[in-house]
Amino acid sequence: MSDRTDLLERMRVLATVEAPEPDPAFAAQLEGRLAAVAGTLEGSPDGPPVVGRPWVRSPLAWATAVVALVVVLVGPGLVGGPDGIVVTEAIAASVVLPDGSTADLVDGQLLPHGAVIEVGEDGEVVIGDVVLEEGDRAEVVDGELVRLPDAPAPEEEAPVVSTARPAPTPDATARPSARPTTTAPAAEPVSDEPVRDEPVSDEPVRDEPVSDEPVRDEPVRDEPVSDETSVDTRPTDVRPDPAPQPAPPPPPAPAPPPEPEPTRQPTPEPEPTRDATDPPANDRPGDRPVDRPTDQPDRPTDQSDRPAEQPTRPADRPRD
Amino acid sequence: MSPRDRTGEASSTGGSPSGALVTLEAEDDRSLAERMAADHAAFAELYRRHLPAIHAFAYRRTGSRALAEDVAATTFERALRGAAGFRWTRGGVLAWLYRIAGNALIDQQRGRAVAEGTRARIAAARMAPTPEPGPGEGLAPDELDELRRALDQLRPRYQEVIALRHLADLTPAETAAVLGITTANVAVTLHRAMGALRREMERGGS
Repeated sequence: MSDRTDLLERMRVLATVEAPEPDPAFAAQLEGRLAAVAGTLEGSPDGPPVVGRPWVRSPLAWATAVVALVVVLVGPGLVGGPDGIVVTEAIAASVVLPDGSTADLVDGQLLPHGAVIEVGEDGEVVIGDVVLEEGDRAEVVDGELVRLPDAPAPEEEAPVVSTARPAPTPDATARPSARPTTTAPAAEPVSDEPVRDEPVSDEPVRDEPVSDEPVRDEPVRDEPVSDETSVDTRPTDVRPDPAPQPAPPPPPAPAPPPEPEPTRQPTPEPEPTRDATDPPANDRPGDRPVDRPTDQPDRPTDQSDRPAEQPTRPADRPRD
Repeated sequence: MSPRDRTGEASSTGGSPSGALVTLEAEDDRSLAERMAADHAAFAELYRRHLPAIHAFAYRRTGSRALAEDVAATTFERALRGAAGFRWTRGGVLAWLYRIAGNALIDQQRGRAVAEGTRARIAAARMAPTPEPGPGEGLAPDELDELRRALDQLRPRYQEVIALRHLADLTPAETAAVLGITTANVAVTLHRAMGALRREMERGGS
């Protein structure tokens, strides 16, 4: 059966199955129905005359109407708009709605902002000009479809982060899908993402690490790694504020003892840590190269933030 | 006898005994097709010529006379509504009708899948009303049904290209013309489609 020639032979047999002639009654009935349909077709010779609407027959008018329709549909983004997008065709695909419910994706379905499409085996989803195939994932963001990375990276990174921060891991697993590109930069810590998603909550988030410290105390060996990871989260938050960055740098040098500096100063720091701790992070090659450049300039700000934490950490170490 | 043998482009299989159409029967498909949007007699003649081929195509794909009639009806109704948009390409009217029928088959299969929910019911619906004239050489009805079931599971594009190439017996060039793609594209798609069909059959058999 798996043999190609055998399959072709089966198709040949299927193509030559003796088919019955159409039932004459059916053929006559269908012909009558077609005649009736023909009579109702607008503009047909047998149909009702088109009165007072000459533009209906004008190709130019139709072309204009089509162009206008395309502009209306495509302008806001595919076939949809702020309310969401409409699925043109869906096969073997499911959607996770913003409320967390999951359902099979069906043709014509309106997908709201935040809905995540997952195409199953042998599946296919067509939305406007976009075709998602087996294994593809995409999210509806402001009426547009944004492809998501194939692999659920958070799951792989979670174990690494869990040694330093067990608590934030669950949040991180939920958010990466929402912002695939922003999660990549820090790469190492999944815990970075929650902070980025809500820049307004930066300060409260900073408090968390402090509160987490007791938890961190347990894995003292992770210090270098955990420092970086925790620091990386802040730089991204601080990005929008370039001013504060230069100011803090001075304190970091003297204040933090040799421990943090050696690891921070070498800009390649994140890479070594990735090598050691985040081998799975390489699963998302596409995201990182894009994000790195943005991280690097921000690193100075990381240092500025670190001083604040560092005092607390040295204290942690002795605790352990 | 292949579908092509049975339904040559200018053949008049299944022609109506209507005497009013004697002159039309002498015309080739192309001239009829050029007039069919405005002249319903021309369309009716094309309908009579090609109904048997479309019906047989749908019957082989579904294994059910009732479903084949549904598909044939849908096909010609869509053809009538879209007659104005028809442009003569390689394969002519019949290839165009095959493509419409292929899409109608996919829609029908989807509709049944949604309405009935399970493959078992689909198979039952297929087998119920059918006094099969007889299976193909060397394949039992169950094997044919298995092949049809596997075809049903393929993505529409694959179903379409397999149906046009193997069931409608269109040439690669005709298939490409009717699908609006290149022959190389047809070859690639068909190769993938057959691979998917093979996997589907293996899955069904395991």
